[in-house]
Amino acid sequence: MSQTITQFLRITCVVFIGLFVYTNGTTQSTFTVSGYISDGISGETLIGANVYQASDPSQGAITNVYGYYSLTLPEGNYELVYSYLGYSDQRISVNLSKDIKYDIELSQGVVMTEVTISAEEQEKDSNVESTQMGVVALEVQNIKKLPALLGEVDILKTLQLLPGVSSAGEGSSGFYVRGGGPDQNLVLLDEAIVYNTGHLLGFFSVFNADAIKNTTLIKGGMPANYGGRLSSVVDVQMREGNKKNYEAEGGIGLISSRLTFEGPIQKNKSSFLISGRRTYALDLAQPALKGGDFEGTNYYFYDLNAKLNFTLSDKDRLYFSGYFGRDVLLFAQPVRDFQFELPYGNRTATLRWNHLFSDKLFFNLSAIYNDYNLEFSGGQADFTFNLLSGVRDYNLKLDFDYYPNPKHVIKYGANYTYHKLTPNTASASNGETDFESAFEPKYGQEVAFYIQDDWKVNEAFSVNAGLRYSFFNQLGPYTSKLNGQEFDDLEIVETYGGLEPRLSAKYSLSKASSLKGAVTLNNQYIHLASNSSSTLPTDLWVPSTEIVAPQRAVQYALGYFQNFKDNSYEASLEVYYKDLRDQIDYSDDQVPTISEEDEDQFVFGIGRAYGAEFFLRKNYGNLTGWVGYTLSRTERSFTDIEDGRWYPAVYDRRHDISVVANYEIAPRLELGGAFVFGSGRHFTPAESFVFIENKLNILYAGRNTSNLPDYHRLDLSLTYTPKQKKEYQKFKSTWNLSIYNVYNRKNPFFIFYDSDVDNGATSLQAFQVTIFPIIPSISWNFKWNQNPQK
Amino acid sequence: MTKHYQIFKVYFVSVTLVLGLSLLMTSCQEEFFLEESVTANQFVVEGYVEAGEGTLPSYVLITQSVPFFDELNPDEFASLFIDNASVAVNDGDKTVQFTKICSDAVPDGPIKDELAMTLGIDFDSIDVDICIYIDLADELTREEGRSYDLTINIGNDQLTATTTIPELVRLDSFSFEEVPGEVIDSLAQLFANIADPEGQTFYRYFTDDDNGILNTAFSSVTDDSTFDGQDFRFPISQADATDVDFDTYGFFNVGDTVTFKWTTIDAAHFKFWDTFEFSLNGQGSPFTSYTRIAGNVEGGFGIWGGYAVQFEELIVDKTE
Repeated sequence: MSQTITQFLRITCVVFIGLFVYTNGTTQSTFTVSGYISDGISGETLIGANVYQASDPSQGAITNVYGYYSLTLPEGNYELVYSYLGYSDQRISVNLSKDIKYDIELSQGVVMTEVTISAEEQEKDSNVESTQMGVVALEVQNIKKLPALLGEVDILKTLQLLPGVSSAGEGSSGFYVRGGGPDQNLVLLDEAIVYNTGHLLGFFSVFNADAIKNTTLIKGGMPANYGGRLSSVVDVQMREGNKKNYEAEGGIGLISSRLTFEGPIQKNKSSFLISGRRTYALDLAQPALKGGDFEGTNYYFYDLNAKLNFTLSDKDRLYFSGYFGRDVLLFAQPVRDFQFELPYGNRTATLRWNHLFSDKLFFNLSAIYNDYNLEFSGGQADFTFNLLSGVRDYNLKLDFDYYPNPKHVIKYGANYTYHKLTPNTASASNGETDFESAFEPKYGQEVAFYIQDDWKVNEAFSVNAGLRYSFFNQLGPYTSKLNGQEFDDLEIVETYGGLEPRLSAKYSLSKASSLKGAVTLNNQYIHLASNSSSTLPTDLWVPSTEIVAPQRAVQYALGYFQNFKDNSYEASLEVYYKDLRDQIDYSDDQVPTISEEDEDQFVFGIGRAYGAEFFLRKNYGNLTGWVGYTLSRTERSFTDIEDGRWYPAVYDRRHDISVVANYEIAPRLELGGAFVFGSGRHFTPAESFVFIENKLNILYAGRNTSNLPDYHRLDLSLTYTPKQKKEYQKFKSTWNLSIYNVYNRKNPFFIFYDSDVDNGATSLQAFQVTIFPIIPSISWNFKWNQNPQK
Repeated sequence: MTKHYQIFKVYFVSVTLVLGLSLLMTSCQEEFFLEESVTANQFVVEGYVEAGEGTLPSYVLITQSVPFFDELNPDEFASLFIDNASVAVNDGDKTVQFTKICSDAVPDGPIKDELAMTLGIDFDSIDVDICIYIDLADELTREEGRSYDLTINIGNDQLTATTTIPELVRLDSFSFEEVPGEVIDSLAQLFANIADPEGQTFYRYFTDDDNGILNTAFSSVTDDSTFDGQDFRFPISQADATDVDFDTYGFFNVGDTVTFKWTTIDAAHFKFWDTFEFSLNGQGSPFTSYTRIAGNVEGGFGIWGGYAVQFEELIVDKTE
């Protein structure tokens, strides 16, 4: 491994030095204004904020994920506009006769009217102007206004309300994007991969909204700086903490409570944030269980997010962020001396160093650790067992953002990841005999280099051209299953890799409309196969090996983007076709076992997904929200499943509609609503039944040849902010009333069969189970600020 | 213990669901109507060949699958049985043509008792004829290490299957012990010991259920992946009864005499029962997908299975 890392660093350094020399060697009559854009109250940097020339909005720049911007213009006097959605613009006059460093703070609280001034167009028409397609950014403050199941604000469930994204099941935070599997989504929390995104079997996501700043979903036209997954990127950034004042935020809900505390370490220079959440529904039930058959049984989950950031100098910033979350299920049946414990969860840690090599060259170095593990242990009397599985990554990332002039934003970088994947390793003992499963962890390293240029060719035409090269090595220690060859530590067993071109382009048809197209190729080296109808924490991540080839996908997308009414409404129509190779599944006679490795039970096939997505969004005014409609088809074909017949994947949704709205009834009263409709999920129906050994059993029809009834549901929420005694009050609170499934639609969660004997006649019946009827919930949220400001 | 894992996997999913959700909300269940479809019946084979002391001649039942939407009354049940088949088995040395005998002609005795168990019917109480195919003269050489090819012709349809009787791996000792947890004087847990040989082996067992009929427990098959090549002691559950009480499941009544049938089977035979039972037990779990039962019959569905058998009669006594 050390050789690979050395090689990796050497190549990266050569590229970096070349570009650095180029950057500094360029003689110019242009100068650069650069800096950070941040929130005026908290000092939090703002991602995706704009700065542009007032007289020519096309001459502008956007802040990166660290809030940094760099705008290079010819020498001269300019009026620059700094803007960000929901914040009031700031205009400054600059005499650009030298490079200028200018950090700026924007103030929140301006209510946008539907009549806009021209200076705001730059920001609002990014939907039309940017080369990116299939990208949606959601701010937590907006997500918090929407209805939530049991009052638990959930970022991933909000993403499911976007076209092209569908839920993995009733109430599930798991999601499928454009016909891709749940493992094909790259979910990042401050750059660390989150392998398991759900608590309580996926009903709640691991993201505590109070600790989150920004969430971006990329479902098509994935830029070259992302890789390793086929279908989407969900890039979640944690908040940095208030740099000016101490602040506390929290809430009490039906099943959990949250508390976040943040503040400056050194005012305006460094800050911290710590945020926790824990459920307590079953803790409260403990007295009732005491003395009963199940005394000691409990279930809870918790999350802990922490972040520190330091401004070391004008050119250097340091961030440390971490996440630790666990689900714990304890089951006890004292009367039979039986108990088991099932803890599982993620841990991530990210250390990032931002450095400005010049005003035009922004550098970030990230060292990331993440793991997900699941342990299942217990026993009865002398018999004990323990089952362990998980994935652990060590990741080093170098990213450069280079801003030579307003026409180009060049990004390049490299990424190295060392993976350790532990299969279901079991140990057991009956008091006399011990058992240890023979499965060893698998090791791999993943390396990627990328470069991309977001190039405004002319007023109408822009292109984002990127190239990513990635490869993956399966590493020893390992004994080949194919020929028995033994591999030592870090010895290369198998190599996969290839170029991943990424191209997207935009052509403006008018000031308010554009055509976009994208072609992307992605490789995926780590896989998750599930033999369940939903996503479960027990689903196992496995690497590419000598037996399992990487998954590959090519996606083609075309889109028409149109804004209306001075950009108050944005609309889009996107069509896509996705060709999937080396897809993984289990055969349909698979039985989970610890006697055979999962990869030996896999079958391999191909897939295709295509569809059209319509999206209409209103960003301003008392009424905001969106309408999304997706028409799509997703199919798979596996030689070992019904001789390769193309069947609709479980991810297939023919029609999917979402209507999301937020209406400000009065200054302190907001109504939120979400309606979803989806074609019924495919399932494999019973076809006939047989009697063998006097037991009735079921023979099934072809895979996914039937549909559950259509899914639809309306959720509503009301957020009330009590009147404050003083204008600048330290303590503020809100009440949120949510009603999930307002009209009590009985959406089926699953189907099961049971035989019925009536007057000696035997018949088989199917039953549907609905788990979420109408569910009202209430939560109380508060915020305390040491020094409240307007 | 392989099975322990399966049990626990299904178990924890169910428990988690119950714990997580039942406290928060009430789920609701109602009949679901599948889309009507036309389904062709297929032939279902259930046939066994056994070696060992106390085993019976080989026999084959041929029935048909029942379309999901059909209701099956007792008369129709009898009509499931195919009575116009030709059944032959080759044991490597000779081919034996099986004889069709129908319910009214089955002589009283162990064969009738076993068929009653397999079919779940009382021959004396039915009016209609149920026909089976049997090696009436016990001509097949039934011994360990031998393969058996089954050929069935029904009109223009031909069904074939092959099975083997592997070498028997005997259980070498038994003991009845206190049940785990709180002691219950009237119940005992059965433990057995096996000296498992090196290499993959597959096992299946039966015990009397509380109706006194040989039957199988929740999970009746296992491979030896967790105890390959070891001396291994493990608990044995009593066969499923009509009502399953989780508190006392698998335990034996002190004082009873229990018939215990231990068998060694081949890989395909194991796969059939493994998938059969997983499919059966997965019913009602929200997270298990469907499982297709892996039969070993070409041209139809079902199992043609060989057993190497060890029978034991055990008296349930904790003091020994």
